[in-house]
Amino acid sequence: MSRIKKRALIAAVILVAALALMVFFNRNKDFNEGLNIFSYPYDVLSGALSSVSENISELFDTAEENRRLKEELLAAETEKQRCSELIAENRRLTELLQLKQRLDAGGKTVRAVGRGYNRMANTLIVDKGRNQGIVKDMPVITSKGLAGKVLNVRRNFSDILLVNDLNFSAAVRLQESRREGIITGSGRGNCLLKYVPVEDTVKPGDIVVTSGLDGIFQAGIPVGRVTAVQTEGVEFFQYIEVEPFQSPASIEEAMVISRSTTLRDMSEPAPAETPAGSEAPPE
Amino acid sequence: MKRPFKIALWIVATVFSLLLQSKLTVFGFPLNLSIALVYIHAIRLLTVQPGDAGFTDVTAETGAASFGAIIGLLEDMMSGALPGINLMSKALLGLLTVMIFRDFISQWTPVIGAAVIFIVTILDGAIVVMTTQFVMDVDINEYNAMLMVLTQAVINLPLGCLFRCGHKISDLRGL
Repeated sequence: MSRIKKRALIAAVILVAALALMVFFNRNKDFNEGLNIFSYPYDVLSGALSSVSENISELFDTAEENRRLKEELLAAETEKQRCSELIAENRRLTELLQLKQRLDAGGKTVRAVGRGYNRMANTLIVDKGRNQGIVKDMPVITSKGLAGKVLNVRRNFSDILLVNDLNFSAAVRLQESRREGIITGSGRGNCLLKYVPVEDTVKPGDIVVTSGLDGIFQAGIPVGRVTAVQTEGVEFFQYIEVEPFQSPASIEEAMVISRSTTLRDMSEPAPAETPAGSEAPPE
Repeated sequence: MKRPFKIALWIVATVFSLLLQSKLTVFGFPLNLSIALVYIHAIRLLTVQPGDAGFTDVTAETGAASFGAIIGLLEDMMSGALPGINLMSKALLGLLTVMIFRDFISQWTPVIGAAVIFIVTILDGAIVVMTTQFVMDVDINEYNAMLMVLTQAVINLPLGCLFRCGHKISDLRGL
């Protein structure tokens, strides 16, 4: 038999066998179900392969989800920080508003925009100046107490001399004993109460308020609390350290008031606040 | 390579190909690795030395057609298609592959390998689609079917380049 004939025979066998199968299974569809037994191992293998591929897919999904969650966490933390900042700002502004309501003639709210250019002085630059009615030597207060006074006035900005500066001074008195003195900055974080005679009784915890005798600050502005008293080793006056209620390092908003402004209920410092980073008068 | 090991290798390759083509899709079209397997088996048969035991003038044709029939039948049973469609297609194309290499090509080159597997894949798709339409009376979107077959043929192209005939085809002529 020639090769062509043999090939034709093979092709014919294939065709006949295939057609017979197709016709048979097409007519007897029930037999198709019987063939499922042959596909069982394949189904098992296929299921295993699917399981493996799904696991791999889930692994990649997990990695992707992990990355996405990290990004979301970062965004949420940023948002949380922003919210905390807004809450703190809201609290400060509320206090400032309450303070403003306690001033009969009102005051000018200022916002700190930077530290003073003079490195040797503890000053603060605020966002209001001559155009907004700020005048040199005007007292600067916050809801907690005295913050400083206006040192220089420019057109739209002013420099505030803070209470802890060596050049700052104000006439004060001890709230309880009514003894007078002069408070000045120590150049560090706290203040010094000067010119209190040795024979006067001063104890830590005493509250210091302005006396109004200096012609700059009206009487009754809370300044700070006595933290240390030294009577030995001094000649005429005691060495008294005062912690200001308003920490100079944490002023963000303040109120500039005029000499004629009358203060109501300022003899007591504002209640202590809770947020982190903000200074509160010690109990 | 010993014969049992060869057989095991082909079984593994067959199962793997059938699993892979049922799982993977390219542009939404399933692969057609079974026809590639038939093609590869056919050209491997042609590398058998003329002096080998059992090698007759139509051994390669018979072997390729038988292998194609087995692969096709397995595919039919596993895919749930009407048994016989893939059997006929793969068996005929196994036979055709051997015939092409024996009668029309004097020297295997990667381009020729790619061209042959491309044609064989296209023919397989055409036979399966037409037979399915004819026998099972199923409506098939011809455009989609054409795209699918073309995609499968293109995917199989590299296999045509990779798997070569080990000997000069001209040496096999006249066997």
